[in-house]
Amino acid sequence: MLEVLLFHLEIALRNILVHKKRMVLALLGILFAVMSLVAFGNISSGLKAKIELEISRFGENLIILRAGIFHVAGRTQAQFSEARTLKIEDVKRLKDSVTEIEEVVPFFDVSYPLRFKEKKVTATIVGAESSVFKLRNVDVSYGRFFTREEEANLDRKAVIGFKIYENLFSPEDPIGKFVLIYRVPTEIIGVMGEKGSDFFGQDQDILVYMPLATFMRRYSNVDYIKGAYIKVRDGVSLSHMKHKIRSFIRSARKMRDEEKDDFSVFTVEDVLKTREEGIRLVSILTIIASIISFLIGGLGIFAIMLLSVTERKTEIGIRRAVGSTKRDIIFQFLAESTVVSVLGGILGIGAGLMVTTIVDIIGGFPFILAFKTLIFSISVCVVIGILAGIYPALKGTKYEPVDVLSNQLF
Amino acid sequence: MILLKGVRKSYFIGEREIEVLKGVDLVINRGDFVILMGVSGSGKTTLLNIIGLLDRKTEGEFLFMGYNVDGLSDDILAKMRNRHIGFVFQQFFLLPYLNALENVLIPIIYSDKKIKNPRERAKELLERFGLKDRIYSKPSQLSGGEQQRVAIARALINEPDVILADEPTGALDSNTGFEIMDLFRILNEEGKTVICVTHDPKVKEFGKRVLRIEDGIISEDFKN
Repeated sequence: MLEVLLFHLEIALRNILVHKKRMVLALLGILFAVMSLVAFGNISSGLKAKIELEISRFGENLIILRAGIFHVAGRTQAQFSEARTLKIEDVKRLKDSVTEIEEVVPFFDVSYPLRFKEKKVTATIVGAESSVFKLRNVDVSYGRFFTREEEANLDRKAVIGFKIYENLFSPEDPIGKFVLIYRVPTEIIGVMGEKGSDFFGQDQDILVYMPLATFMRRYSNVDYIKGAYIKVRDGVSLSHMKHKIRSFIRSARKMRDEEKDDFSVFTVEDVLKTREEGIRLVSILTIIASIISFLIGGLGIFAIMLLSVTERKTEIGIRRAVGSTKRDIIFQFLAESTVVSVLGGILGIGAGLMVTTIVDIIGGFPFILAFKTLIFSISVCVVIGILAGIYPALKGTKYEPVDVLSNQLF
Repeated sequence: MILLKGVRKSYFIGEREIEVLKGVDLVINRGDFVILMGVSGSGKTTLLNIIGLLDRKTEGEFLFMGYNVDGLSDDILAKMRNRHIGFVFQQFFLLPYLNALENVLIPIIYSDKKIKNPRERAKELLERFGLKDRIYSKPSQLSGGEQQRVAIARALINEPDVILADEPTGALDSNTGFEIMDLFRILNEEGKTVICVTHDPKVKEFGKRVLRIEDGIISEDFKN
């Protein structure tokens, strides 16, 4: 039985080789269907992996509190209004009062140019307490973070992003050099590793971290903060905490019900939600596209098999004469259409992997092989091959040796 | 081995019924070499098809190797053809995309006889028929005579009891035709029953027995 199957498969492959152009046409639909399915499966897995990576880069279990009204959608955060009402005490109390909160890091950020010698570069300066490094998974590739003592002493020290280093110093050693921020000389003590943009589109490589107290008193001379990073304990629902933080701040400020928020609370999940919706939409479209491609591919195989069966009626006749049953004929042509379909699927996987590689390189996603999608695609190919082959195979059994082999009518 | 008594066969062409065999009585014994002669439309091919279990008679009695095959299904008839009959055709009917060896092996796919080392046996047959250098050639690379010898090897691979040949020399020049007929003569001497349809009077010399069929009836039956 296995030998017979192998023989049929071999014959099927030979037939494909004999009719290359025709078979390529028949394969194309299946090829594109599998290509889009496989590419999509791999790319969306890569995308998910990238999102997870970004979450870890951003910091896990993080809630962001910002003064002013922000709107978060996709990769952008738009600021609609500013507010100078958020105080450091508000967020410190938050930490003491809400047990689910592990850590609160208030910050003050502003876009401002940095000067070094004649060079100038715009940076996002973030005044924050030293715990921000751990909270936001910041790694210093060269030098060090500032310490609690330096914070307490209001030291003018800064850790700079990778692009700042490249634009101002490279190839000079920046450690111990002084840059001008608000015309105040500030010592560089560390350089962060290259990170790219975070979830909200903030380029992490143009950040400059400074101690919050130093920045508030010695540089910008303000008594309010721009916001706080809030880390909640593992397993706590972020959306639940969002509401809790919002109502805590409202009541701490004794805001009346009709008063609108002058602050925003958001999480990585808000970003994820819009992105997942995007992925879901794309996946529905991809599935529809590949269903259509599979149907077209199936029809292509159907047409080619029908042609093949008609052309090979003498072959059917001779096989029947030497002892093939109708069932054998059906089996043979089903095997052939399945081979064509699966071959299309294999080529489609190859093409899909190529597309994946290109998209991953362009999009900067990690390459992930969605193994389930591969198995699924090939299974669909087998089913399509069999379905497309049924009618042609049955038609093949209609040819009687007497009709197709005899030289004469009688 | 083969017995026909009052066998009739009619076809319908549209509304019109055409009777091709009009009562054939015939006994063919094991080891015979029968030449079946007749002009076009005489019914010789129909008779061969009935004997070869490719077609069914309309009326009369027909025993194949002692079996009454009347009620048997197409699949059982296919199995019987595979087991007992080797076919040789005028147009050879080799599969164009398979080489000589693979063509010879086709009946083995459908065989439930346990033929030992079918590949070796197929090679031996081809070598015996002078095709040692052609084993891996495609039909398109072979001459007509060579193709017909491959076809004969295919007819023999499954060790049949009877060889049925339908105008086996019809597509060959007369010398090659004689070679093919001589091959049948040798196979017959080795014990195979051979039934050969032809309209060529020159090949009838090879048979032991000549039947002439005219207008659906056997009109002559003599031994050579």
